[in-house]
Amino acid sequence: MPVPAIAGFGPANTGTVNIFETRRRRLLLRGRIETAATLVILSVLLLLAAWGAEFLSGDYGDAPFARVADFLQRMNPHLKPDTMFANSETHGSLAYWFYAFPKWARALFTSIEMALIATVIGTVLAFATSLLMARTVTRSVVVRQTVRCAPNLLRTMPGFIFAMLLVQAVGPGPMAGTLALIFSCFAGLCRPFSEILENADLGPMESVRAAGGGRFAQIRYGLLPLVAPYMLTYVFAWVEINVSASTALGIVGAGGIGLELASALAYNQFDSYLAMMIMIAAVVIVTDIASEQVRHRFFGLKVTR
Amino acid sequence: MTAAITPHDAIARALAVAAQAMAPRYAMRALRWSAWALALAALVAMARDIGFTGDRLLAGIARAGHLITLMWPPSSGGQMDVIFKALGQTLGMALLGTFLVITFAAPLGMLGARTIVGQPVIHFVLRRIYDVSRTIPSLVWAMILVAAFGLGPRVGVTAMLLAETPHLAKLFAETMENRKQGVIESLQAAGAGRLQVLRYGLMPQVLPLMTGKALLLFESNIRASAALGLVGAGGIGVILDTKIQLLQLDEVAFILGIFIILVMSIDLLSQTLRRRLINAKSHSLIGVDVDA
Repeated sequence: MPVPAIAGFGPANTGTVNIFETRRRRLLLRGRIETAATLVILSVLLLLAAWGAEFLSGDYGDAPFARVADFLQRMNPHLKPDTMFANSETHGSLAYWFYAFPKWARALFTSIEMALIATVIGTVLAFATSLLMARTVTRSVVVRQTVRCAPNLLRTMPGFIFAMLLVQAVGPGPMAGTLALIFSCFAGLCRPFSEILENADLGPMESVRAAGGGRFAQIRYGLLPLVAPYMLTYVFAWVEINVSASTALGIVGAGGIGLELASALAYNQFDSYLAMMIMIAAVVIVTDIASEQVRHRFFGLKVTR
Repeated sequence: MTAAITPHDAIARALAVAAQAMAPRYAMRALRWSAWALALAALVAMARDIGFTGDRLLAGIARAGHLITLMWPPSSGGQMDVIFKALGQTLGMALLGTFLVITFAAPLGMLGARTIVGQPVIHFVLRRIYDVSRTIPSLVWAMILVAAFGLGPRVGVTAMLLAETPHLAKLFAETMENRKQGVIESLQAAGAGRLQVLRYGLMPQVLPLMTGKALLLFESNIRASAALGLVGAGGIGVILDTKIQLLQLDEVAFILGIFIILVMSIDLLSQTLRRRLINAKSHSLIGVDVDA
């Protein structure tokens, strides 16, 4: 079968087509082998993981599904429609279910306070550090690389283990949790901050210098107004992360609603636990919506997480 | 002949007008400063409320210094095999957890994508369910699961599954909504069926992005699974919990050192993989916008 010529490419012949076809087949084959190899390696790793996580041991106890049902039964608050809005003495009322609402709300408020304080302090620390990390502000390579190590090291450490160590250092309570959140927030913000600084336009800073401004004036009037909106989007993302994390910190003794969660389990009150989970979800959702509103209204920017 | 304005006059006039011209600016400035002062006062009040005070901080720093001296020199405590087994278990939990989360999140994400399931009510309800259920941290899930089903890594993996699936499903749904319609339309025009459109139109576009998100999840799951051990859900966290409570900080330092090296190398590997995925995508025949 004759191959039609393509304009501008000279006459095509079966030879070039054959070469093209061979190369194409070889490429396809290579792709398939790579995919198959990846799948095999991944499956072996997964089998190892399942064995390590005791998923393959088969020892699931007797009647695992009955235990799940029992678990859900214990979490069920047993609300009854006729006594739904009765006082807290009546079984089956909302008030009976949320019997310690003021105490839980207070603990949840502590969690939020921890998150807010930690975000503010973490942001200030991260801003100062990111100035030392950014190529555009700090000229010395040695300083930049040395400073860079701290947030990188902190980032690898799980926050809850850090919180446990801090509980040993400052004693149990919200302060340990706040410090743990400060560290993780600081570590998480340093890199985006320094990247924003490196991408910033240096013109305004030079103008301030030309007008006789010192180092502080250059940063305050030349750099900060330029980068602040971008940085704030990340800060708001961290408000959300911190609020969510602060609700769990009490589990390791670091203050907030987690303490109440742990004590509910100590008394086997699974329904109270569910009530607090609902409160946590409500607070986190309200925080998410509020922070999104603020972000959209003031900056109109979106940050991808 | 009018009298020439002397410099002295000009300055006097300017000063007379200046106060008036600057008044709104000063008012603005006063407002801004009072807002800052108010925010600062609120912050200080909150700090006082939770007992975050300077003298406690100083005492804490002194005690932390003492704890750090206890950390040196790091020692394995002669339990090398136990530690490495637990580390392996933590990694296994993270890998299995990530795999199971992806398995459940991929179909859920598809169902939650407006472009695949067109029904607006289903879309709205599903997305709100994802939003609500992703708010509970995995540690909160883990604690009640341990109370109900006993200790062990299985509970940890289940907690990860419950906490992360809705989050990843939401990310997947957003990824699928953001893909280009053109490829799919041309496939439909060529007479491709529904499955073929998914396989050749959707998958090549979203798979690299979804893999990237899954790798990020794996990175964070390693940290999460180490933390899950603190409530008894298996892995290195269980050992760390005991050692921290007993203040055997030299062994804690040893374990954390190994853990940090491990996490850093996995992060590096995953970073390289993600970068390769993005590059491969930009070279592919189908042009897809890269959002790193």
